[in-house]
Amino acid sequence: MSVKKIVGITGCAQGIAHTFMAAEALEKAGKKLNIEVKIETHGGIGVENQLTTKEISEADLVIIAADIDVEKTRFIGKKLISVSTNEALKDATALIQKAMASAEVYLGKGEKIDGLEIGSASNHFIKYLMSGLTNMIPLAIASGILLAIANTFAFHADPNNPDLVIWGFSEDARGQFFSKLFDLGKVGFTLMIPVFAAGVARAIGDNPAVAPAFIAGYIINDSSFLGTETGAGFLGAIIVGFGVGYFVKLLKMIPWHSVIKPVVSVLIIPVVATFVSYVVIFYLIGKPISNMMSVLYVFINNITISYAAAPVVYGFILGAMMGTDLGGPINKTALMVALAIFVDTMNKFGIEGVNAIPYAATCGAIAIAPLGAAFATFIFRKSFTTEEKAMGSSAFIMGMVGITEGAIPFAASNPKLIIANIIASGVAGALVAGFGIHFFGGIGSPLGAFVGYVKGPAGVQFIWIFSILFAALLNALMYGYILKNRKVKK
Amino acid sequence: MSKIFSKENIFIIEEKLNSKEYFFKLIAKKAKELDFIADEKACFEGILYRENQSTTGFEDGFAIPHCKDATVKSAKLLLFKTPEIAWDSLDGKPITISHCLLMPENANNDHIKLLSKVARALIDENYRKAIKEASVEEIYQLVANKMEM
Repeated sequence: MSVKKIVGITGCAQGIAHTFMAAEALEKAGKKLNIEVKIETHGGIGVENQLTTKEISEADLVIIAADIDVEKTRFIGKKLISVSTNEALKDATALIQKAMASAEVYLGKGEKIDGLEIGSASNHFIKYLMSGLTNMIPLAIASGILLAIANTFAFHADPNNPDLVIWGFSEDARGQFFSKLFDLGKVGFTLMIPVFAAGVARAIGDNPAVAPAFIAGYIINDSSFLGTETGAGFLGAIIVGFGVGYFVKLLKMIPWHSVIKPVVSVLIIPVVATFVSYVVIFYLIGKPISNMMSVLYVFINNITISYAAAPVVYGFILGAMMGTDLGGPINKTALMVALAIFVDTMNKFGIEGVNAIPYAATCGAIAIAPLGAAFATFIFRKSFTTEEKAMGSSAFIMGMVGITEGAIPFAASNPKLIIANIIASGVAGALVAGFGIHFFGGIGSPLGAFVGYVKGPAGVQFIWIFSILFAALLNALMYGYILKNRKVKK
Repeated sequence: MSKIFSKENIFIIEEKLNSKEYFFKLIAKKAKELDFIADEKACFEGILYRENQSTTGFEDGFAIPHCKDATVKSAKLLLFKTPEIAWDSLDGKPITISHCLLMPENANNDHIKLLSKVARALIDENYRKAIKEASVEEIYQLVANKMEM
């Protein structure tokens, strides 16, 4: 890559020395390498030598050498490297060379746009839930897909009436293979709740919290243990994750005697936390939460069946949430709610009563914003800069594999586009849910019809692809409308 | 300019200094003697606090310890030539020349600008070479020239 112009920012805590030394070092190294370097300093006087929009757009590379937080939204879509001031001082020439070789395009993940946190979540509550989800999602995908595949082989001819097909595994060898595969999928679903609880608890209380949260997450969802009709499901898992996590954190703060200190995290904490969890769950919270969840899911399943409009409404809401902050807390919340309904109804009602429609709505909406942005750059070529067109191509690829973050650069540079993302993602969710499509896991994009498992009315794969492409196109048209008066310099 | 830096702010130290911390105490002591600060301990802690955030040891034997604290009366530059002090500097070498910056909490912008020029000067190899060989009088001239640029 040939680099002619570099812009950068330096800044240090006290703003007296290192801000300026790092700037000087980078400028000097630029002269040596015959590269035009302009550095904006964030020192004790405030911002000096401010970069202009033109300078940023002309720069091939952005170098940030700072020990303080620097606002970076200006650089979204640029190749950027971020280091400490001392790294620039140590060898600025090597830093520039390293940046030329390995700087990555800055996507603006985690930046705040109009008060909306995009692409990541700094909120602790959401962060802890996310670590639980991170552990659980692969489990949900593996067991969901295997269970769905096994299920398609569960239908066989009724021996008493060759014209009828009934559900249930036949007793031949093939039947055994698939019925065991089906059982395996169900084990996966049973384990999701404890795995999720353990993941949340680990994020809060670290490793000693894993075992107690796993056991507690298991019993709070085990109806035979509790003596209830169903388990406490996802809500139970969230309560266990946070409860055990913070309880363990508390136990760790006790100034244990040095003699027993070595066994605190392997013996004392797991035993105490598990025992306390048992008492609290069995005698206090397990039954009421289970009964409440049971009522809630029966209600959700009933309205899904009884009112044609219900899935359209919740599909739109969930889909719109997916498109709002593109991987931020609102997006993650929608995904979690949908997944919770999927996992809990699978555990409660089995594959015949599972409600994977909300999950389909969220997964169908994931790809809309990046695909919409990509289509917009393909259709309205005049409204976008050369760099944005390049980002459009990468947004297309990210969209096709279900990575919603691909749309961040567009939303960040033009917050009005977020409205388009919200509406179009909502439309995708409403369409998918309105058609009654269930999603058992896979890529949240048109490819999900094949790399994944969708279930629903006849031609479900076609409907899935159509719904997503339609919404993405709608998104692109709205981009075109919003940007129609935009002047792009050639 | 003369307010920030003068010949009496240049110290040639012969005595062996066993550690950075010991040196920082010496800086605070000298600053107090010149009435640049109100409290010696606060000044020492200010330098140490900054040093602990990340090293101010640069390369070639140069360091730029500094303190930004309410105890400082007005912005000052102190320059110390010392026997080698062990320091986790960027090139790992011990420190022999320290440009020490003292800043009050709400520093005057012109003062920060002057001190930032001194900080920038350290990047210049020719400046570092000249300072190493210079007498007190020559050091004063070199620094004064950099500040006026």
